Amino acid sequence: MTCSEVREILFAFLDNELDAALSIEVQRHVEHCPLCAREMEIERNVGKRLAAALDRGAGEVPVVDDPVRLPETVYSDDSAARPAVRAVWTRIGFAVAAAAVLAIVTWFFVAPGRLAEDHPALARLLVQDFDHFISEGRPLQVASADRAEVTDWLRDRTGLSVSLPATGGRCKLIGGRKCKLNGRPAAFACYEMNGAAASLVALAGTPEDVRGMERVASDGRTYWQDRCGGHSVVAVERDGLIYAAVSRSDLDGLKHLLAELD
Amino acid sequence: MDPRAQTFLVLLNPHRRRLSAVARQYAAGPDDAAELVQETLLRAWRFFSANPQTVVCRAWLVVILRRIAAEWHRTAQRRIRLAPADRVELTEPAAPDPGEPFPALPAMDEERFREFLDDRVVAALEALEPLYREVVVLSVAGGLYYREIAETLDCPVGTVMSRMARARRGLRDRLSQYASAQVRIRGGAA
Repeated sequence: MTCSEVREILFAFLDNELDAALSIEVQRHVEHCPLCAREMEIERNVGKRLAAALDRGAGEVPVVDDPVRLPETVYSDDSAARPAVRAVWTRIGFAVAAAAVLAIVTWFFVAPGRLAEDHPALARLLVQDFDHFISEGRPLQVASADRAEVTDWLRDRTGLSVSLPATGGRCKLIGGRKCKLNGRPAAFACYEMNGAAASLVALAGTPEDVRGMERVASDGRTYWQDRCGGHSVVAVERDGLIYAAVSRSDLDGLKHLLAELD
Repeated sequence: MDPRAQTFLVLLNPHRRRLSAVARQYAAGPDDAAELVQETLLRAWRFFSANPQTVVCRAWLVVILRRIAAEWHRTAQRRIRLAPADRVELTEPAAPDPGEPFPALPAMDEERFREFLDDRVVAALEALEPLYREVVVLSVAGGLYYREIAETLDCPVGTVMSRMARARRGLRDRLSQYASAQVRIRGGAA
């Protein structure tokens, strides 16, 4: 990748909008090109300053105690606008969905931190995605502890032949959502594991994607692992898919989860 | 409280701050922004209470807010700082004008400089064409993905990407002088 090609997609890279393969290419180029690295650092700083300024501009956030008591206003158009792609109706009972979202709000308060640049690109992307989902409380699109139901939903919506691991004991499936990991379709499943949040992302990929992560063998299986920004990341390859689990707990718990894919 | 209202609040809460930040960019002042948020929430609640399976997500709330801002602008009901761009843009305006050079900065300490810089960032943003400014607002203040911005603006993702690149380059041109000044101040303090 040339410098001019990198500059073309620099902002999309910084905004985490490129697919994993392209992101890794950009990252590799920047590691060996001080000019692009400097350019990226400047743009990253401008972006951070911009985000801080706009957030500060939010001022006092209005408190809503009870929406029923919001003052009524007569509108010419009663129907609210909805982007078509977001018109997602969960197939399960709404009470379950609400409970799951409440659980996420309660359990998953994790402040996104700055990740060291020397971590493998995919590990950083996965951790950013984990924090992005959790800190911003993005709702689950399917909320269920039923593995078959969540698996079917994810397969249907992502087109990936996803298999979710069996769970038991102190590991509980909460639900899932369709997502994109830097533009690449991915299935995101959410777990409660020993009282902490864990995510399992499945995306089409090859072992090349986990390059840079530490390769370890355990119980006859091969894993790739990394500790990144206070998070544990463990990945395996199964049937042409990369399954990567992320949590703030230890690596072994994630390996146990991934071992259940077999 | 009505259980349905309680559920609405649980779903809404993660998005309140982002929504306020976006409202401040569309509305002319703090009072208008608060009104814009309130009307957005009321409209969202009315839809949600009639359709309780609705997933309350940030992109949906921003679309409602933007529609109200467009109504205000169209009917001159209230003054708008950022007029929502029309759906169809046949031609893209020229690249953002970097503007006139800023005057030389007086000496100031780090904290004061940071506040000053925040103000300049917002000023630099406001100097951009609305077409470019809106993608920055939706992405940075609203936290929407490019795909969600494309759906909101009814344009291809590639258009969002190119507008974002142009907007960010325009911002950088405006701000680079301050970055240089910051280096000078830090250098002087050391």
